[in-house]
Amino acid sequence: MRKLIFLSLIFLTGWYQCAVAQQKFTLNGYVKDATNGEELIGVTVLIKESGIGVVSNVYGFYAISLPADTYNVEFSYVGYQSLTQTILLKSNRELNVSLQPSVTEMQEVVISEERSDEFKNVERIEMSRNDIPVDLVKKTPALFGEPDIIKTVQMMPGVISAGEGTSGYFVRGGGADQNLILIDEAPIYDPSHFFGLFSVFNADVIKDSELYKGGIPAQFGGRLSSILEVRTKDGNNQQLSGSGSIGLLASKVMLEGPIANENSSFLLSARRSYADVFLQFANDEDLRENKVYFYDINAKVNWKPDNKNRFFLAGYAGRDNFNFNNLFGFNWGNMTGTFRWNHLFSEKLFSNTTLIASNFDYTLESKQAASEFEWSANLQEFSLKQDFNYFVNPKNILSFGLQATYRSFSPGKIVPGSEDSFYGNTEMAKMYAMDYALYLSNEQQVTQRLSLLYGLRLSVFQNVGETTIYEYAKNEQGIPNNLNIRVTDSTYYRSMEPIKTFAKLEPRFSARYLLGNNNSLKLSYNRMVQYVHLLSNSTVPVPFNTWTPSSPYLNPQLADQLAVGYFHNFQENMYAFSVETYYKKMQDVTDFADNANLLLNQDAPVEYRQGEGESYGLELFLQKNKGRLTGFASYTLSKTDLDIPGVNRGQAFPANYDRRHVGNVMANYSLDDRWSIGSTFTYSTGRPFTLPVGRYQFDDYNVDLFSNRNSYRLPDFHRLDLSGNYEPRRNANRRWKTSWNFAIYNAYNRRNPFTIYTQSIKDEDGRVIDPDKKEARMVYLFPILPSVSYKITF
Amino acid sequence: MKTLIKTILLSFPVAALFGCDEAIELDLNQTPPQYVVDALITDQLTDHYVKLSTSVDFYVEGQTPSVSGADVVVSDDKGNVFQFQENENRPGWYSTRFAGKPGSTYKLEVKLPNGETLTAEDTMYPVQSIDSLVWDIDEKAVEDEDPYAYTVKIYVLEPAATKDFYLFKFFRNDSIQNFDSNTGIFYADDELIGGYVNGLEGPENYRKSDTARVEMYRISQDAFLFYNDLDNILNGDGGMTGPSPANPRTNIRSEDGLGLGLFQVAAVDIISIVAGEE
Repeated sequence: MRKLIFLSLIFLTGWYQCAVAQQKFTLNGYVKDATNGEELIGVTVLIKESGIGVVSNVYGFYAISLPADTYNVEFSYVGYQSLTQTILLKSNRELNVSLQPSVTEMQEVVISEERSDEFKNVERIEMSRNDIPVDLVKKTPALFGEPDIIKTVQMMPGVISAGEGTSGYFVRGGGADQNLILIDEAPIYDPSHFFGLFSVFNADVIKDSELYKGGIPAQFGGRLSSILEVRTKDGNNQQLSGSGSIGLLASKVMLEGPIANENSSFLLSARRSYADVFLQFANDEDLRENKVYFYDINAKVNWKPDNKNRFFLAGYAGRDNFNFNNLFGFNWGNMTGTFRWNHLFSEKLFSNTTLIASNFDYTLESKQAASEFEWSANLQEFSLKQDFNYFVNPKNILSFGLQATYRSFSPGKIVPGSEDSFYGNTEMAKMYAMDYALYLSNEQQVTQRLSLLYGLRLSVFQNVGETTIYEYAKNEQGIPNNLNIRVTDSTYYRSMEPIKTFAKLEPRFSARYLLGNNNSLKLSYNRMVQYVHLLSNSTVPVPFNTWTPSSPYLNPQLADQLAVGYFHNFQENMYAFSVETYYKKMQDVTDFADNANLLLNQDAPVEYRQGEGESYGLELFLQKNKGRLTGFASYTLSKTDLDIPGVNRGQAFPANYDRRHVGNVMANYSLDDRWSIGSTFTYSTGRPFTLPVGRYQFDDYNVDLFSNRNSYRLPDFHRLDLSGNYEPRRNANRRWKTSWNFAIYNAYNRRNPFTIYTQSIKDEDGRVIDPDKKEARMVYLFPILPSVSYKITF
Repeated sequence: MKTLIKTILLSFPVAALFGCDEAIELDLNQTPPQYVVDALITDQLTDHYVKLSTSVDFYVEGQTPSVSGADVVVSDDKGNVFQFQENENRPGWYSTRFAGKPGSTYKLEVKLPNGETLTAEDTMYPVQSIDSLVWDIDEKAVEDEDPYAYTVKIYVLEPAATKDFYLFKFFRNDSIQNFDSNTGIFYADDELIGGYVNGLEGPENYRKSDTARVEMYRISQDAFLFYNDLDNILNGDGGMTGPSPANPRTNIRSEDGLGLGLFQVAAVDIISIVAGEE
């Protein structure tokens, strides 16, 4: 079967034509920004004579094969002036170009060629993919004035937010752990700062980011529902420049520039919050002892010795630190490193070799007398990736590669904090895994109207030693018994000894058919497999959740998704519109038994449950990229149910993040060349919620009685935010420019539900008035919150 | 002792930093009453109680209804049968006097007036003694002129060889102290304990001459899981940063599955001191 697929792949690509075709030459090169040397991703390169176009890849590289002739080649990219060059092609040729940014975004709309960059919405084969508009994010309102792309991701069609104050999001019926978040190709296991108020992504260093929700290309794998790829800037190779900004919550500095000459550049950026600095001025002495902060550091070095070789080294480190009255404290953080080598083996063969390291860890400590301890846990990952792009002919681009990853999961280690502490030295069993993937895919232009992107990914996952695997007694349904937990058998595995091996084939397919000059139909199918599982039974993951590999305890999770969509651009690509509908079926979705105790629990595997999930929905998206008004609006109608044996007494239930209607608007309007105003509005149906149906007495406790999981809903969520940006006219004598951002979060002061809890009725001091009378209380997070930030750029 | 760590962790979601809350009225469906068993048998020679009641709708005020006229029998694996009698002045409270024996397994059988039967089983394990309970002065409370200026500290040796579970009850002059919110549950397993609990502070402060009493129950795994789940319900945040609430795991079996409440059989060690007295 596998052989057949491969053969048909070769057949489809039309390689057999090569032998008889007339002699062709390859035109290739890099496209970059003329002002800072940043490589531009997704630039449309159009051969005007034939109408054939290609798009620059994620490294800014393009290649196209053509018969010998003279051509007009047009390079176009949103926000940049298009450039047309006439070339005489009579041998393989390299053409590197630099594009000038548009002078101002208020420029008159130039009626351009049909197939310019703005046409990408309709033309590109991939569907269910959203570019996160980083420039727009910076101009629209943000909580405490700190722009955050994750908050914008949460507004995309098909994406559901866990609520405000979290970095969690859910894509097309998938859980919060089913999103792969990459920074320069390295995975981030917990993207949150301050428990999710902010994300680890500093908007100032982001070059470009995109979210894949369906039709996911074969080079990506490892998560069921989405891939968020974030790329940082390469650093200006033209001149030293930088920026600094002061906000209510955090301050940032960034410096970038060439190192020796324009072949090399660097970028260095740091961000730190300073809520704790203000605490020093507090009247209450106890408050002054508190430590509450986070920081991020991004660093990158680029070296381009020649046009055949490019290297970069990128690193990220971020951490949150909390300490209360020196009684207890915790911290968590991510560290990633990426080394990349782009190499051009020939005009047609582009290679990308990447070494990746990622670490996530957390520590908590208590200094309370007799129970001092320090608890720490971490997850480490090392990967080698080799990707190739082979520009077969103008109609076929072949991508293939392989990947190997080693992971180590240390769910926790406890060390007593003093000799008097009652804690002993305990280390929870570590887990290890090896992960391999091979992929092959082809992007093929079948006719002028029909293009296909199809491929296959083979993923192999091994849970390896050293560890001991326990067998637990099962209940009547064959599920590990968590009422009466007993170990019936155990097996020891030596270091690197395979414990269980899983292998899965993941077919991927996308098709685009151009209906007319400005609209298209797209179809996609993908199978995704996820081999790592987040041990969290909360709606919002907290940084103290640990991950665990597929193992004898847990099968890999698997999802099949089918999506169709209609894409239409209006008014000379001023507006890009899409409507998509999807159906997703998930198998072996990981969940946990009711009341599961996953934290610090050596017997946690008895709480693991796996079952089926089903999700379907309709998504509308309208985007405006040009003119005084820019922004987008999205609407999602969806339904997600889970059916997991051993959870909710075996009955299907709506997922925690099942919200029927979700609508978002994000817009920015330029009043003149100094002032612009921005706004975001978000609405969603309240999330499903388990409410008590009654109460009863046990001992002195007044206990809620529950029936089915998630059978109620919280009130609807909606919020309006407003912002104003002011950029004073640049003084001709000065090199630097300044800008102000004023924002109002939750402009009409809506009390949005975060959660509901119950209690016996209490007085103002928290004393119970009547233990036999209960009430429900709704928690809401942010009232109306104004903020201001100031930025200097040079 | 996971509980302690869990409390620290879950007491600090974002909501705790920025959240405000307000009472809201829930629009809840009515639900048929369900039977609840609250039974405790210890190794002390005393009256042991099985209390039977039913649940009520969430907003119903007052004591929950008791269940009278049931037949309550406890038997052990040595052939002893203990018939419980309903108290005349406390309907729904069934009692009899005996001392449970560590090492025995006890069965509860309740025949309800409507003909339904509830059953449960639990085992009593021996408990070691609390070494000592001492009082200490809380300097901060003295500074604040708070009369509740005495803390108590527990010293106990925990046997490392076995996996044990505990429930602690703290009393001030015979009234139980579950913090001031009626939601404090002090339960623990010994998974992370090194061996000696060396001066663990009690949850509440005492005035001079108050009697401080600590009861340490060695409970079964079933009971531990029940208290863990009860803690999730009483102190959870509705499933935002913790698990979705669900009825606790229990050893009570009704004819159609799990019941409500717990049949708890536990040996107990009791120690008391008077605050401020040498």
